[in-house]
Amino acid sequence: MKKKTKLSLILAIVAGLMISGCQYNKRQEATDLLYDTKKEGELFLHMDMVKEMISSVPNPVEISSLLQKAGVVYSQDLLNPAGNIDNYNTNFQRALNLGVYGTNLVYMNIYDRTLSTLRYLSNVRDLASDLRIEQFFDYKTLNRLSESSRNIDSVLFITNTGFDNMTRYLIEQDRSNIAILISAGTWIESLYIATHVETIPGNKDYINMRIGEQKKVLDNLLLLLHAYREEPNFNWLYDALMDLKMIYEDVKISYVYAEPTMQELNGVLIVIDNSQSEVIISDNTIEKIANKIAEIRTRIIG
Amino acid sequence: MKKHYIFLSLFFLFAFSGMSFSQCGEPLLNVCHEKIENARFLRSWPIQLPKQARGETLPQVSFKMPLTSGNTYKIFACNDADLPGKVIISIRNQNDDLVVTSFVIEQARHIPVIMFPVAMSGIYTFSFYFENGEEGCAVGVVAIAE
Repeated sequence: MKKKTKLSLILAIVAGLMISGCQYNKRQEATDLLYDTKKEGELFLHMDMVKEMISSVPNPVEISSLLQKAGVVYSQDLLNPAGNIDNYNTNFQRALNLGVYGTNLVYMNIYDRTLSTLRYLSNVRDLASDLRIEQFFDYKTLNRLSESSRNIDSVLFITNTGFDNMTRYLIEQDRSNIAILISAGTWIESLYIATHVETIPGNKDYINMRIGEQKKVLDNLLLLLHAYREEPNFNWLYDALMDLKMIYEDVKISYVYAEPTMQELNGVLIVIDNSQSEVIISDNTIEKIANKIAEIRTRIIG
Repeated sequence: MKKHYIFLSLFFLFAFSGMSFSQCGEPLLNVCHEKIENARFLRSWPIQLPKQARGETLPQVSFKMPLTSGNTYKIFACNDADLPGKVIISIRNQNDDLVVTSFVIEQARHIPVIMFPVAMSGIYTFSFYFENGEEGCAVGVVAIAE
C-alpha cells in the first residue's frame, strides 16, 4: 500500500511536469505562426550572417553613454511620445517601434530618469507581446527595479540581455525580418537622438565624429534590408536609407593602426590603444543627415 | 511495475541532462553579472565548446561587435567550474590586427579583466577558445566602464 502511494505520488509529479512542459511548448508554437513577410525558402541571407550584421549595430547604451559623458543635456522632447503606441497596427510598425521605444528606455535610464521609464517599459512589453516575443523580458522585476535610480545597471542588464536573446530567437525561428526591423528602429532612433541633441562648442566635433562613424553601420543595415526590399513595407525604408547613404558618401573615414601597448594593474590588463581614426564630416553634411533621419523617423513613429 | 521504473528513469535522465545544459547559459551569466560592478552591461555571448579532438583544429567561436572611440570597455569572462576548460579571449580590430588576448603565454597565466579605452572606432572580433583545447563552458561579457 505504502509502495503504491509512493508510486502514485511520483507519477503525479511526472504528469504535472509533463503538463507544464506541454503548456510551454504550446506558447512556443504560437510564436512560430508569426511570419509576416518572407518565408524560409525565400531568404538568401544565411542565419549566421544575419546574426553577425545585426551584432554590428551599436547598442543604444553606447550612444547614450557617449552623449552623457560629453555633457549633453537630457531632453524628453526627443523621445517618441508614449501615447503613439496606439497608432501601431502592423507588425512592421510594431517591430520598428519596439526598437525605438527600447532605445528611449535606455536613454532615460542612462540619464537617471527611471521614474519616467514605466510607461515606456509597458510599451516595450506590449509591442513584444504583439510580436509574440514577450517571454524575453522579466517585466515584474524591471518594474520593481525602475522605482529607484540605484538599480540602473540591473535594468540595463535585463533590458540588454532581453533584446539580445530576443534577436537570437527571432533569427533562429526564421523571423529575421522582425529582428532586422527592431535593429533598424534602434539604430534610427539612436542616430536621431545624436543628431538632435543640443551640442556645445566643447563637444560638437566629438559628437559629429561619432555620427560620421555610423556610415559603416548604415552599409550593414542596407545589406540586411536589401533581402526584403521588394516587400510592400520594406521598400520605402530601404529607399529612404539609401538616400541617407548618398548623404553619407561625403563622410571620409581613415584609420591609422599602431600596435597597442599593455599595462597590468591589480589583475586588470589595460590596453593602450595607439591607433587612431579620423572622420571628416562637414556641418552641412551633419545637417543633411539630421534632416533625413528626422524624416525617416517621423514616418516610423507616426 | 518494471515499465514504470524504465519510464521514470528515462524521464529523469532527460530532465537532468536538460538541467546540466541550462547551467551553462543564463545561470552562469547571472553569476557573471556581479563582476560587471561599476560598468554598464552591453553584450554577452554564451560559449560552449567540445574538447579538441586529436589532429583537429582548436575549437573556437567568434563574434563581432562595434566599439566606439571615446568609450572604455570592460571585457571579461566567467567559466563554468564543473568543466575543465578555462576560456581565453582574443580581440582583433577590423583590419584583423590582434589587439589583446587574456592569456599571457610566457607565464601560462589568465588575465581576469581587460580594460580597453578605444581610440579607433570600428567593428571588432571577439574570439573565445579554451586553454589546451579542453571542453568548457563560459560566458563572455562586454560592458562600458563609467
